[in-house]
Amino acid sequence: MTDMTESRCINMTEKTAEKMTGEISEKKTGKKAEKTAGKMIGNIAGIMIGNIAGKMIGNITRKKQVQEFRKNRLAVLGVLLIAFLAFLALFAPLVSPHDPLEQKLERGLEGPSLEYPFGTDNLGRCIFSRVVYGTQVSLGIGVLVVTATSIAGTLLGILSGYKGGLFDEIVMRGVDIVLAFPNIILALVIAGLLGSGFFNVVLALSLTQWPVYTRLVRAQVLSLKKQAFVEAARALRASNFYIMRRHILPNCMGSVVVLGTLEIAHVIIFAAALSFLGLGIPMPTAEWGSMLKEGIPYLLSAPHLTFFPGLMIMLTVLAFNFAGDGLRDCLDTGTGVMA
Amino acid sequence: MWNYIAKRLLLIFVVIFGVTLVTFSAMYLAPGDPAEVIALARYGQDLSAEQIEAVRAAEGLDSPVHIQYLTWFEHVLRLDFGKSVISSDDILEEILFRLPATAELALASLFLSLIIAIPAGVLSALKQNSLLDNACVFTSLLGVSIPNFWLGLFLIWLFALKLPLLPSYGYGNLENLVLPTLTLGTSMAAVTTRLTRSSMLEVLKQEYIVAARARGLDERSILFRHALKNALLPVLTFAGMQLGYLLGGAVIVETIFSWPGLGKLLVDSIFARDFALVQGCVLFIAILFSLSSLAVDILYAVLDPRIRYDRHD
Amino acid sequence: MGCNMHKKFKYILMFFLLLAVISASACIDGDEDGTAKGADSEVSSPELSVGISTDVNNWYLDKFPDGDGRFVWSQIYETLVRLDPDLNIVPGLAESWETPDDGKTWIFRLREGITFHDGTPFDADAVVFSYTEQAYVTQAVLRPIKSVETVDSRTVKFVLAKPMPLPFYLTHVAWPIMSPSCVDAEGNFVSPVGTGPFKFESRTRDQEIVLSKNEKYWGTEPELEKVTFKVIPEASTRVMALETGEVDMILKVPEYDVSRLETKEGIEVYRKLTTFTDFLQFNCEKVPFSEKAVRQSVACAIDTELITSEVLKGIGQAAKGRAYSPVMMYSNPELEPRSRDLEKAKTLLSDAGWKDSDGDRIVEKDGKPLKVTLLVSKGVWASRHSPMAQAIQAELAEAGIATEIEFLEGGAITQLENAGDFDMILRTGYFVWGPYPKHFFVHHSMAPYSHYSNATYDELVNAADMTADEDKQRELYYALQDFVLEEVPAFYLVHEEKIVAANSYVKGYTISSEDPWLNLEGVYIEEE
Repeated sequence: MTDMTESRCINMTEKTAEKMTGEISEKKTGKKAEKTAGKMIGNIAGIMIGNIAGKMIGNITRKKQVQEFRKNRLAVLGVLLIAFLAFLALFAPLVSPHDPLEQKLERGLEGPSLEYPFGTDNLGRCIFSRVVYGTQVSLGIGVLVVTATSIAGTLLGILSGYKGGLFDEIVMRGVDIVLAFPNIILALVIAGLLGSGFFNVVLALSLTQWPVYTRLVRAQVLSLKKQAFVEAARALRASNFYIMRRHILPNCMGSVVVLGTLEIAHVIIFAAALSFLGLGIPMPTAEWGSMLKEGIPYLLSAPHLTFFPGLMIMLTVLAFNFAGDGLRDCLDTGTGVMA
Repeated sequence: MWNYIAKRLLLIFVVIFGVTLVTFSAMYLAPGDPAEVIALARYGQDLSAEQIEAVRAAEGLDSPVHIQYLTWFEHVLRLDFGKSVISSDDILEEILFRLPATAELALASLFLSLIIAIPAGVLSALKQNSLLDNACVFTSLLGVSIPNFWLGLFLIWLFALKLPLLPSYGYGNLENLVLPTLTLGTSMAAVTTRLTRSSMLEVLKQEYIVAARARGLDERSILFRHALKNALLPVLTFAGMQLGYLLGGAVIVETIFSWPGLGKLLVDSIFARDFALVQGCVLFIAILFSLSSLAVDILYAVLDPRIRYDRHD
Repeated sequence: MGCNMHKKFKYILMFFLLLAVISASACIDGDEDGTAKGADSEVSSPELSVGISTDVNNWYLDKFPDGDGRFVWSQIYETLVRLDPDLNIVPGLAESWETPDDGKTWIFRLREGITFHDGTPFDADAVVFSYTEQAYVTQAVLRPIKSVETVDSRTVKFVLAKPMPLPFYLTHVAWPIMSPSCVDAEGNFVSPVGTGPFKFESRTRDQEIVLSKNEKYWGTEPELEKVTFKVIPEASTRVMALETGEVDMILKVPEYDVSRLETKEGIEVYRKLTTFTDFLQFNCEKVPFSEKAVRQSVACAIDTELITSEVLKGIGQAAKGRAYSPVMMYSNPELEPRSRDLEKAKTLLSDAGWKDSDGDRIVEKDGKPLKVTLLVSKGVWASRHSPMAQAIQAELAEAGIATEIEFLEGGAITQLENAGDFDMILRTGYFVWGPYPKHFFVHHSMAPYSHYSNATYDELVNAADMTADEDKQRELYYALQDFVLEEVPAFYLVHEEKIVAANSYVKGYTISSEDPWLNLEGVYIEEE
């Protein structure tokens, strides 16, 4: 749903861009652009992870914003929850009392006990351990997909917005085409074609999620381009690459980080939904969506099979939504992101 | 404005063309030999190589990719989506047969979400930072974060199993509609509440409201005559654009409640590896979604010319 | 101001749009409500609603319907020969039969005075019609039929190319007698017309099939006026529907719900061992299952007793590699089945060169790890097969075999099987005609997709198929059971139980061992 509101906001700004796009593309066309583009991809990617991340944090650490963020109790709660989940994922082997795959068929469907804090599933596996290990899968997918799509989507968005012209046209039509498919449906079909598996899920979700960033970033670039400091830099004959790196990218990062945080929440739900439908992570891997699915037959006799994995999905998604909301409020990026 | 609409119309053709290209190539790359699959459905298990080759020739599966695409595209233009390779039913017929169930679910969910979200969002914005507002914000965030498959299972557990009040499956009666609608509608309501709230807050900050207040107009009339109207415009258009979300959510909700709609058809055909049917479903959904966004965009342009004009002309 | 007017117009438009949406949904709801009330008012007459997992996707004899369609067929259509609940052969539409030449010619004497649902008489011509070339039975299994001839209006002669125990085959509901009036003059199917106790009334696709009592039924008059089959694909949903009273009876109750339902007030569970045996079918033409040692290792690694007692909650009987359920003819009661022996499973693998040299707990040979895919059908049996597959996966892992489980629809599995592109398939029993042990043909090299070829096996099957002598047959079928146990062309897991559950006001139901039939003879609804 994020992308839809955005598409609304951005559609409007797109119009603004059209005229400008024309001018710029006339000035800087052809091979030079392509050359720099190649170089830029490498550079910008590096910057994003290092330099810019630092800058972002620098931004946030500005006293006032930190205070703002702290005041937002839900956001703080979100960050604490995320830290806790990351801890579970990293130290899953230490936290979980049992091997998540170990079956004790004769001890199936037991309720919560000291030995099995969340009880056992139909095959006598420890639900607590499975839920803990499930954190690895869900966070892993969320972080991987969001990292990949935010980098690719942002790069495309910046290039598209800054360069304009045919490149912009092609990228934006690509965005339109991908967004013409309801989100989960495209992911579902791609996963169906590729077959189940961790990396197939990551790929399916990445292929469907990148346009969200491209649209957002492109719209921001279009408005940034008109700003005085960019005009000034251009007047000083700074290279395009320099402008993109020093002026455009840092100013987009805020909204990308906000969007990325909220997107992790989305991606985690989507991934769980794919597994729930049987197109995600294959059995017997401990994954929340497939645990839910496995638990359906025991809804009445052993509801703990579905309760705990569902609760974990909800908590994780909630944590990222809290954090993302808080980040947006304190950065006041005006991205129009809402989810 | 007309300029915009014309451009938007042109764009939709490009997008739909792109959509056909994507669906076709996805299915072209699908695993398995389509000729063999069709032959299997047609002639049964004892297949000879000749039969497969005959099918390949007859179906034009031996021609180059672009020719195959053009042939397929031409069929699509004539609204011929082909036949299911498993049941050999006409795909479009099958889709149209399933469509009413999905439409019913989607409309009911949309309606439910609006009657929850609009009052909640407006109240929340009017009493910003009050207890009520915080509760609304929190609840809607919670609503966004609950996966609808879990919510669906919970509703089944509570209303169908613990206190057997409502059926957990099936289609046709009003009571069948309740649980799927609750599942899909409430999660959508959460999104719309947030939008209504922020849209309302935005409007309340506008000069004309401030001016109206300054003029000492009574709060009710400010609210109803000025604020609400303007705040609801994006909400209602957004509701129209929720179709994509509804169709996506329907895939899951229909699967949980055995609701015989388009979403369930899609999932079933993926597992049956009936790629022709998958292709048909996806194409249909994407076109439906594109056209509805187009309609919403045009409607929006007509209803609120302000937004287009100051930017475009 | 003009601007204001414009705005007003917009809101009016918006309002109407919203109104349209609301009334559209209200309209739909209103319609549904109407039909619901109509249905409620007829509660007093004796009706039964039965939850089944699939709709009936075919009604004509050119193709047997998928899934649970057979249970609906068995109400409308009947066969020449029937089986009693314990699988003894009894007369059906034919009152007697004989074979003058030890199984190559069969002459059936038909019952007199039977009419089809539409009043057309049941006679020899109808039998000939039902075994024409387009009939599924003739295409699929009874290819050896040379001719079906009318001797007189009550006598039909089947001439076969080789001796076969034809009456056993004819018990299957997949080849019933249909009226020639099922089709129009051009031979296109019109409507289902049979001789059974219930006749076709209506069908709502993917939802329900309504049958009504055949007033002129030749056998015991049905107590029920109406039978409604409701399509509920998910097993757990079916159970819920029974518990909430949405349906009176359900078929294919999942094993994990049985004990709960059995103790539940107001619900009756009926169970009986059937002829079906779940098995793991190997692709013996492809590495690794082309190696006998690997198959034997799988057989040693899997604990079918534990799976039966824990995963299936003690429902069914552990097969331990035995191909034939005790209710089958010539099932060898003295057979020494396998029991789990993990050490032996490991030894078998290491002797065959499969060793774990890199410590990842998966054995390799020539640098290739022993990783296989297990195909499981997503359909009717999924609720039972999904946990079974995972238990098997875990047990094979202990022996060093890595298994990946893939869920697909039945049709998709057939595709892969057809292409030989699989390792293992978890199957429920098939190729079963009553108690007759035809199933062995499944591993015959001539069978379309046996993926197994062994000359000794083929000879044994051929010999058993060609003789009508019972002692000889017994001897050969015993030998085949030994052979399957030792050579493992497939590993047999569990002899399945048929499970039907009904509300306790449903009386008079007798469960039968035979899978494809639902016999509602004598079933009635007790008035409160």
